[in-house]
Amino acid sequence: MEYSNWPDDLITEIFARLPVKSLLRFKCVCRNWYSLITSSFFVRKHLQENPTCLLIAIYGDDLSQSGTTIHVLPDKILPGLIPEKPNNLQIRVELDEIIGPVDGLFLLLKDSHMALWNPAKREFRPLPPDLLKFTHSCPAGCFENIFGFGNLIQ
Amino acid sequence: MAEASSSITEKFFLTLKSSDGDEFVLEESIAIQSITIKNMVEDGCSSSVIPLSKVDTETLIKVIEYMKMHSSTSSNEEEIENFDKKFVSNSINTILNILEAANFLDINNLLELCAEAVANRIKNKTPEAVRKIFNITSDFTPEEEAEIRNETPWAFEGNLDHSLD
Repeated sequence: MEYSNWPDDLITEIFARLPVKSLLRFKCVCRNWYSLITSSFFVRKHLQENPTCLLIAIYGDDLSQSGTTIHVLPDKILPGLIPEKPNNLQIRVELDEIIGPVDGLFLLLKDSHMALWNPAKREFRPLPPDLLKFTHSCPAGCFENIFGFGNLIQ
Repeated sequence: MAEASSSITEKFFLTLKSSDGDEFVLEESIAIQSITIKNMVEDGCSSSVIPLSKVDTETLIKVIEYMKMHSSTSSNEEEIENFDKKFVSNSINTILNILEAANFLDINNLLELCAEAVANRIKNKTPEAVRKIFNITSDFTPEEEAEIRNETPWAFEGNLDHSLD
């Protein structure tokens, strides 16, 4: 087998069947793999071909302190089976709301703070607070800002 | 009468030639699971030997074995399932060769079977093991590689597989 002769779409067939954790590890194999794995084309393909449903349980921390712990569970839930490392994200505050997923992303809300969360990549990105400040004046009677979180046609 | 029945049961045969020069005679109805071969037959190349310059003898034997099992009307679903299970227990190098051949020959279900098998085999491996299996030399500097590893250190944690098969 001479890998150097392989077309990119053949190696992509293997990548599409790998879990995210493996892909994040294989980014450092070589530059070609890095650019294939991080390309928006591949990210979309992987998302479309892996319709895994993650279940999320939220617990307000019972004893020590208040907060939100989010557990990501495997798609196949079996009675009595406890995931090895179920704890994916810990936040010190109790979240107001978790919205999503949209393309694998969740929107987390607390008061006027918002953050995007990608459980598969374990990425947590607070959104700039400026998003909530409007320079336009609202029409009379309007006292609330409404946000949307969803897919946009590209 | 005799003529009519013979034309119904008449089988066409193709000769496939591996990159090592070995020739294999195969029923056309089995061989055309490969879209590449099917197109060649439709273009009128079937009377002569079909050269498969990208498939060596060892790999071609496996591919023919697979096509025979998957076209045979006598093999039931359970038989095929057991065959596939055994088929992907070949060495990873053999499966990669078959995957490459399946891509060249355009046999979609064989490609999917092998891609799935390779993914299962490598998913817990270290980048070093994967490089050796695919015969890849890293073109990152040590600093660049360390930086990528630091982006998601948790992806490198746990019981990783260093084996090359």
